[in-house]
Amino acid sequence: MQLTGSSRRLRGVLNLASILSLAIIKEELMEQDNRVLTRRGARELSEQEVETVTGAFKVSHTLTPCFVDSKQQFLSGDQTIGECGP
Amino acid sequence: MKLIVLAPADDNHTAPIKWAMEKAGQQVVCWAGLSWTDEGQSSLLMNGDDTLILGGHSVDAGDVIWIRRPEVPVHNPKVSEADKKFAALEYRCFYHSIAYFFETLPVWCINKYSAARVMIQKAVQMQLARKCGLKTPATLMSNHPAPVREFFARENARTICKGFTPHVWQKEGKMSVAITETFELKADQLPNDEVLTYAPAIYQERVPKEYDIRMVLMGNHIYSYALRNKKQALDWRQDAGLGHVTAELVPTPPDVEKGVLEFARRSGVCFGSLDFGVDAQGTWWFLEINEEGQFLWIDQFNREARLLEKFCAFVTAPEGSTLPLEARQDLFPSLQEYEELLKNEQVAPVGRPRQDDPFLSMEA
Repeated sequence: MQLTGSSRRLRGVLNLASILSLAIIKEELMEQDNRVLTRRGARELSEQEVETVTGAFKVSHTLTPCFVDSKQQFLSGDQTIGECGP
Repeated sequence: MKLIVLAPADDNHTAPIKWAMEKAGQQVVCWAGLSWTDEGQSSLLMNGDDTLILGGHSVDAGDVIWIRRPEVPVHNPKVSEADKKFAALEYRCFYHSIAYFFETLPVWCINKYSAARVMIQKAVQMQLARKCGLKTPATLMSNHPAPVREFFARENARTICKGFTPHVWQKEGKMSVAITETFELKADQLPNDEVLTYAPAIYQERVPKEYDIRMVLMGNHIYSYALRNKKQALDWRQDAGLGHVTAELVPTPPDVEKGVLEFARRSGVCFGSLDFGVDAQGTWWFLEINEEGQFLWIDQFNREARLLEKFCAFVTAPEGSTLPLEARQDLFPSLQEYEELLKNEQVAPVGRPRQDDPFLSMEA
């Protein structure tokens, strides 16, 4: 799909908003002193990035090694607790 | 022979593999795991001959059992509140009996449950990999602040931190998420001691890797793919989902291949996905193995990989076969063909776990 100039600008604004929103989340997190270290190092995926991954999954059945569907709330990855876990 | 898959039929690897096997005339049955429902019920009769029934399907000599992703046992919700805890434990114990009992039957388990339960432990795999001659980074697993600080005080060493399990945190009412990822940490970035006790973590010497390798082990066969990440991220998993990663088949160095096959022999694991980091000198560093790791995504990143066909060839060959899988892979259709059908809604879509996801939390 070809983007028009205004679409590109809109996407740029959305990207910036998304980055700012993630920065705020990170800042809030650092203010909470009872979070685990791994959460502090976790990668924040913007709504746009989640959409990209989710969209790819639905359209082409992408079976990435770590797939998040935040709408349906599940994670499909290399590991499973299932009956091998605790 | 039939393939019995311990996973829901709509699991994202089970569905295409079942479809491909059936297209080639093979029999496949799925059993999602032990539960109170008709399809989840099981019976194990030991009276002269042993008879094991899983959801109406008998387990017969020569069958192949792929313990892909069974669901956690589910007891009947109508059971009295006073008996729930007991019922849950009984379900769990019976499931364990079934899973271990497979190993006493004349069937081939991929993988043996006993091997899987040991090899899912990251400490065990790192140690065994080292004993098998694979290069491994210095690693500390700890929730004890003093040894953690000591580990970070190593001279001229960079350190990464990662969890034992993946996890996702989702903000209440929002689409954005945070997902566990390997990250670099410096001594002066360590939080106060108490935070280090909130959850144990894995602290590891940072491998100066140029690129990653995802290796797929199928019996005596090893396939290695170089994963190059345009963003040079420390952890490529999320970038793979975002399309920033390429997967190229590369030869496995002979010493690595020897080490991996020895690892497989000693662990009892015949199938799995392994991760390595490769440094500027070309040294392969073992990072981990997921014995039921995802592998079909490589077919999407590299259409020549044909891991779907290779897996079908693997499970339909005799256990321990050394015949190249490539010799029989043409008997099976490709993932691409399956995806076309999926796109045109000619096959059922893959599903989601039916139970609470243990890897997902909500946060305010």
